[in-house]
Amino acid sequence: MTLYQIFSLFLRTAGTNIAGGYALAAPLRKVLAEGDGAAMEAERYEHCATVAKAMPGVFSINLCTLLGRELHGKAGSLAAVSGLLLPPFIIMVFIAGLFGDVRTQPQMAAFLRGVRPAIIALLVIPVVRTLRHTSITLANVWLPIGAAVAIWLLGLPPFVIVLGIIIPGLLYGFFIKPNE
Amino acid sequence: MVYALLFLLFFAAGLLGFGGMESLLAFLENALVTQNHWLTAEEFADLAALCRIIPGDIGQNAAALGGYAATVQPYGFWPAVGGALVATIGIALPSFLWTEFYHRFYVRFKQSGMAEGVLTLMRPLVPGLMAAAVLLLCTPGTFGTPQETPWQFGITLFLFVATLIGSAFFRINTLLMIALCGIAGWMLL
Repeated sequence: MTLYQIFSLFLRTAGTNIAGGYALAAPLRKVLAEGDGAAMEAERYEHCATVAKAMPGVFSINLCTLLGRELHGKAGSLAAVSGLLLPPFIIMVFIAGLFGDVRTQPQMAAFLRGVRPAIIALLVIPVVRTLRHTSITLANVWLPIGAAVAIWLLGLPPFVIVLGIIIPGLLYGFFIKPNE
Repeated sequence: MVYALLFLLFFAAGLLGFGGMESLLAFLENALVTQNHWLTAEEFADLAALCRIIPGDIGQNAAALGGYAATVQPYGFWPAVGGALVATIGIALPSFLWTEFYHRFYVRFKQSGMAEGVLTLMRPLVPGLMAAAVLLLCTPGTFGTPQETPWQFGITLFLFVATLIGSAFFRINTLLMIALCGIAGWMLL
């Protein structure tokens, strides 16, 4: 695949995909790893998707970086990510100017007052799901509670907490070598 | 200066935002709402709603809107587009760094036990980050207060619980659920 082909393929498939996040994985798999003469093997694709999920940051950008690298090296990453970012960026710049005015229209403001509690409720569900799948014990329960309180009430930036976790985590792993 | 701050804040979110989309929200809300007041908590919730019907991930769209909002007041339209661009590059750049890291060092890093060491502490942290993102959005602006605006408080609380039950137990389509709550808000609030 040439760089231009990568750019235009990601622009059409990823850049215009509505309902972002993990919903991007399926349409990209369809154009890249399914059917005859697919650009990459399905296994390779699944591997990229798994790694992209584990990486910090935005899933869709991670996925396109990894896939672009598989297809055409570092330049491929750049082409793929440019395709992903460009359409939403243009749309967002247009919306940004109208955002304040549209939100404060009386009809729209009332509609949004109903929407916001629903949006918050939809964010509660993954918290509960993650708590269920994480082994929280008395030994580590201070971590999620402490982090939530520090960010919520004290306004501490989350990256400070993550940095504070990474250093002891590295030392712990290097010297004690925990097993899965 | 504001451009450097924008870049650094979104770079930090991309570099250290472990735990997926929901925990990344804590990074974005802290940068945009708590630290710099570029957006209000209500505007951020509206952005999250908007991201369900336009292309792009919330991380990317929050960077573009936040970068724009941070620079439009003092500088005007085109510098604000620059602000949106700086923030977007900031959040995207770490993906390239992590991809390089993954290809060069990951196997050795994993063998050293350090990956598991970090994950041992990071896994329980993630639900805390996600919970913080939710709590930061629960403002009087969204839910009202039982003393001053009991009507709004009651209705929004009902819509919150209804969405929770509707989508967790009855698997109602989320977009439909949001639209229904919006219509209820339009009629009642």
